[in-house]
Amino acid sequence: MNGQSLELTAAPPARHIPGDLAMWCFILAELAVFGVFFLVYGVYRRQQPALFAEGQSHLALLLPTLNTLLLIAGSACMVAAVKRFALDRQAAARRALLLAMVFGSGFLLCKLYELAGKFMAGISLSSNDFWMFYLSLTVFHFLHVVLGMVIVAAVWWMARDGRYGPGRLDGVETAAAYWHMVDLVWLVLFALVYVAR
Amino acid sequence: MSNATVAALPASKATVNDQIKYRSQAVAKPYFVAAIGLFIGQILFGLIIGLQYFKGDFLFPAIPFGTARMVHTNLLIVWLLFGFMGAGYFLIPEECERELYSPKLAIITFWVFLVAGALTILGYLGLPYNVLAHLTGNDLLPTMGRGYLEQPLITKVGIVLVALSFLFNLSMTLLSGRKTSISIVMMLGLWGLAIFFLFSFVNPNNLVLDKYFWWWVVHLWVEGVWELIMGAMLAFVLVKVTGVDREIIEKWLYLIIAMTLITGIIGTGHHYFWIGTPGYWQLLGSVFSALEPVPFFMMTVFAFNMVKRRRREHPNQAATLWALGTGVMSFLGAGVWGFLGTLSVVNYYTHGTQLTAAHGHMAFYGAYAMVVLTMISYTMPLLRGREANSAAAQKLEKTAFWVMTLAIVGITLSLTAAAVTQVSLQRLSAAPLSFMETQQHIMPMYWARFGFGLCFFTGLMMYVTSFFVTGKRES
Amino acid sequence: MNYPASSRLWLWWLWLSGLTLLAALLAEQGLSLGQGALARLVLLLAWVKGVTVIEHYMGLRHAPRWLRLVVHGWLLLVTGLLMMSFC
Repeated sequence: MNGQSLELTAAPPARHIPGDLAMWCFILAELAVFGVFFLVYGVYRRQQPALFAEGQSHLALLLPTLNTLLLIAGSACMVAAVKRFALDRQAAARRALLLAMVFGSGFLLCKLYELAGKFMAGISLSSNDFWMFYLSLTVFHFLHVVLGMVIVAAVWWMARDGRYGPGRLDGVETAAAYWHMVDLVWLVLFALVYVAR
Repeated sequence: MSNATVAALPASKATVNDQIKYRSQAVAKPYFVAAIGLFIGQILFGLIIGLQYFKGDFLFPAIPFGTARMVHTNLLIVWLLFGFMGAGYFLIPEECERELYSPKLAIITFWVFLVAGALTILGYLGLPYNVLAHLTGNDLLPTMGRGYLEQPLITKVGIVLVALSFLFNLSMTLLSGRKTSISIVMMLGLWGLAIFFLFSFVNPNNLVLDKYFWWWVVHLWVEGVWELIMGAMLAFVLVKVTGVDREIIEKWLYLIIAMTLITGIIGTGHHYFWIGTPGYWQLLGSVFSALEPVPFFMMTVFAFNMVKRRRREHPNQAATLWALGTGVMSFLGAGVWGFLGTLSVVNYYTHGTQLTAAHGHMAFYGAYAMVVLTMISYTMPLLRGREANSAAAQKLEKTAFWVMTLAIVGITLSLTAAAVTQVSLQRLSAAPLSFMETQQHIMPMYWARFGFGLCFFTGLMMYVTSFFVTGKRES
Repeated sequence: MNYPASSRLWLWWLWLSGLTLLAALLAEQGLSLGQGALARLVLLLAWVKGVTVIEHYMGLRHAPRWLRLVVHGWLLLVTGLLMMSFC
């Protein structure tokens, strides 16, 4: 692979929505839910700064930081996968999809470990407002990572018979778009809940 | 299909009906006829209770308010169930590309359901409720006395058996036939309907738990699995009348139901604000239910978009109108009016007021009554041997659509005005009035509501008449 | 459509990962930059990372203007309002 950008057409590329419009409607709706959640968190925190600061002090940074790196790596793999399908490098593309799922699984395992620790310490939705938000946000996001994995797995499965290729990228781009949304949301969540203290 | 089951099909008048693809789809017809009949009953009782709001002793003691209300709401649910069943019997064979597993079973089930339903209504009207309870085995397993679930135990068991028979019939058809997104979503919704109905048998002694699980029937029905049924029915009609590529329509359907489930499941929490459940429901219920309008918005955009991209001019314009109307009215009634009271900070003041009634009427009509009427509008001509009704019949049907729909808007606006009055006088005020005092201020709105109710009934009569209008047949 | 070269891809990955580690380190140091300043800085970094993901990972750089506006708008609104909440 040389270091130059690829131009598949000579003319400037037309504006193009990566993946399915219907999926983008869904993505926007998901962003809306998370956005509302984050902003309401912001309001509550502002009203009870000490409570939230105290809760955050119980959150170790190592695992969440690792989690962020894992999701970013997963996103990078999805970008690579789309590009490889566009270049008809089927086997390499499928490997990229698998690697994305490996990173995603890593995220899920770390997250499960973290949540298990909290539950064993007796923390629940009713413990206090901070823990209510922490659990709701992280579990809700967790479910989205699971869904993202399912979508990517479905694409990987269907790629086995050469369904995706140059000019036939809709499915992969759609899956990638969803994955990136999950990543994007996590970047905000990570900053807000874990790091901003 | 055996000869016996062929014989069980409703006999066609003249030659074989070539408008329907599978002969067994004809079993849908009695279900739809029953649905309309019960709909008429529902509205008659609606008029009675609407009148009783300002003339409290109308028909007292023969039909007191509580009884009439019970009949009104129970008839609503039952006619919609007949509608869903008819829809299922029509669309599953067509989607699965094979005859219904057992048309005979469908007909038997129809009569069982109709007779059981009729007896139940007669029981409500003819007996004191406690006597009905005693006679029907409520002492064995108490399930009566809860809103919308007032049915005697034996009726509830009957509903489960009818549902199982229906689901068995359709599932067997689906299992050996073609699987499409529409048929799968329809079956998921219908199975969900049956499974969540089982919670009507769960009646904890603890009042908090009682209310907690009651919503597992009511909310998870109308803001859950019924939306799947609605989506599938709408998608089916749109595929047929617009000719738009099935793949496009099915993709939209999956996204719509995904949004429904994501928002509606935790969204159940908007019923858990004040009943004694933990406080975190005020947050979770508000956030998720705030987005429950999204799937209805998507259904509206979806319907209009599909019609705009249509590949054919289907002669059944009435059905297309009903489909588009369903999108708009469900979004307004379920989505917008629902949103008005869904945030806990607002609901604190509007809970249990006329706002709920305003929302409830437009939502039920806009979403479920209209989707059933959409289905009937599309299928009835076919079941009667023609692609679409005559221009004259369609014109009357379309007029009926507008009269009923505008009447419901009138009812909703009247009740919304009542709600604003009620909330400001009884809840928001520095010197709140009592409930009864407030009701006196609302009386004019109840009169207006009744007037619109009469309009609605007129529209319904026009609708029924349209079935009997002949005139030049569309081919 | 343009697809980024592998080197570009590595660059973005390094950029995003680097910013992540930076934010975590700052928090770990318990840096007291004054009232809520650390929080605002960290949210700003999240915004920067988010812009990268939207432009280059999601590929919205080449998408219709309305979509870019909505997604970037979301990120800006959410991180912006949250930053303000720490003032």
